[in-house]
Amino acid sequence: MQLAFGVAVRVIVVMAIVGVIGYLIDRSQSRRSL
Amino acid sequence: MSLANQAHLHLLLNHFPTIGTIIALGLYLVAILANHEYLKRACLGIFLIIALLSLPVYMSGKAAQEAIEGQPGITGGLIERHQDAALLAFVFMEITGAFAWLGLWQFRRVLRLARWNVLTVFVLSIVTFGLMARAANMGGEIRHPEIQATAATEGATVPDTEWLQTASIASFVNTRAWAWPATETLHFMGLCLLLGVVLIVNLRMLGVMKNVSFSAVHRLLPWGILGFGINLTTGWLFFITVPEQYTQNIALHWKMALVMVAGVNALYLTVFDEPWALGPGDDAPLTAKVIAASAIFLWLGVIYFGRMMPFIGGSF
Repeated sequence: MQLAFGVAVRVIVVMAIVGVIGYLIDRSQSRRSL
Repeated sequence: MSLANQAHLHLLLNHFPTIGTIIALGLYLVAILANHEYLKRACLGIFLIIALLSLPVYMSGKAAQEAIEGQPGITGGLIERHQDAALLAFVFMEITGAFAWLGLWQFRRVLRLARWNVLTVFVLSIVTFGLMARAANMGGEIRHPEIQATAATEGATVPDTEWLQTASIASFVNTRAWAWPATETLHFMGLCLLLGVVLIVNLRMLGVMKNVSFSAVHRLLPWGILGFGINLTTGWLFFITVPEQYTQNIALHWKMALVMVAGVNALYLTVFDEPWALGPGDDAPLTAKVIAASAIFLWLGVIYFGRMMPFIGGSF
């Protein structure tokens, strides 16, 4: 159980960072084009 | 592929990240000084292709190590030092490739290269070249005692003082219970992100969702590249941690060959004008459809061979 929680927390953190990077890249385009 | 053949492959390909980068860097400098947009984009494409070529260079290097380790005349520690220097150079090469791709993607959308991106790629490529040249020199020293900085005596070992140490990374992953399962989970999530974008973009070119313009789905590409980045990072952690499971795995060799072709294939989506011209309701030309179908086939092939590694490659 402790392992499952530890893995989940780390995966969520990494995916959240990826999400923020993706959002920022996408946002950089939204003001200029479609 | 046998260890000996991979050693040959390493000797053949290991010049590209060093010599290729300095040539591209020189051209890039000329393009920046002359403000030549077309040449700048060509250089970004070259950086991206060299970043892809660096994948088999690094992996075949590990196989070359297994092939020559323990042979007479090989000084202990030189290979490990070269490997660690190569890992650092490889990381910078991939970051350079990622920013080069981002520049090409942004150019397609706004018809000019962002100044910050041009400068970032320039600085990164200088650093990458320096690190690559250093790693290459260390690699040369393994088999050429005449160029060793300090002549190693028979049976002596060279201390590994590299900042990024492969053995430390492997030990980190091996000694923490969460590390391997978390890496596996992220590898699957990266795969979903990558394949999702590959399917959306390429199915549009094949005629699905015709009422959507290509420029709309093109905007999703960075998410696919981020998925690829997750998989490259996690895949490299697997390889570094237990390389002996992978170096002679035929399924992995096929997987990496398909990744290389699929990577070049993906350039079509951003570099060529043909897909970008597809407006709402437009039918893609035959060339675009063939490339789109091949992209789906290639990425499914990557997944297939990845999944088959334990079965036809004998890993784990």
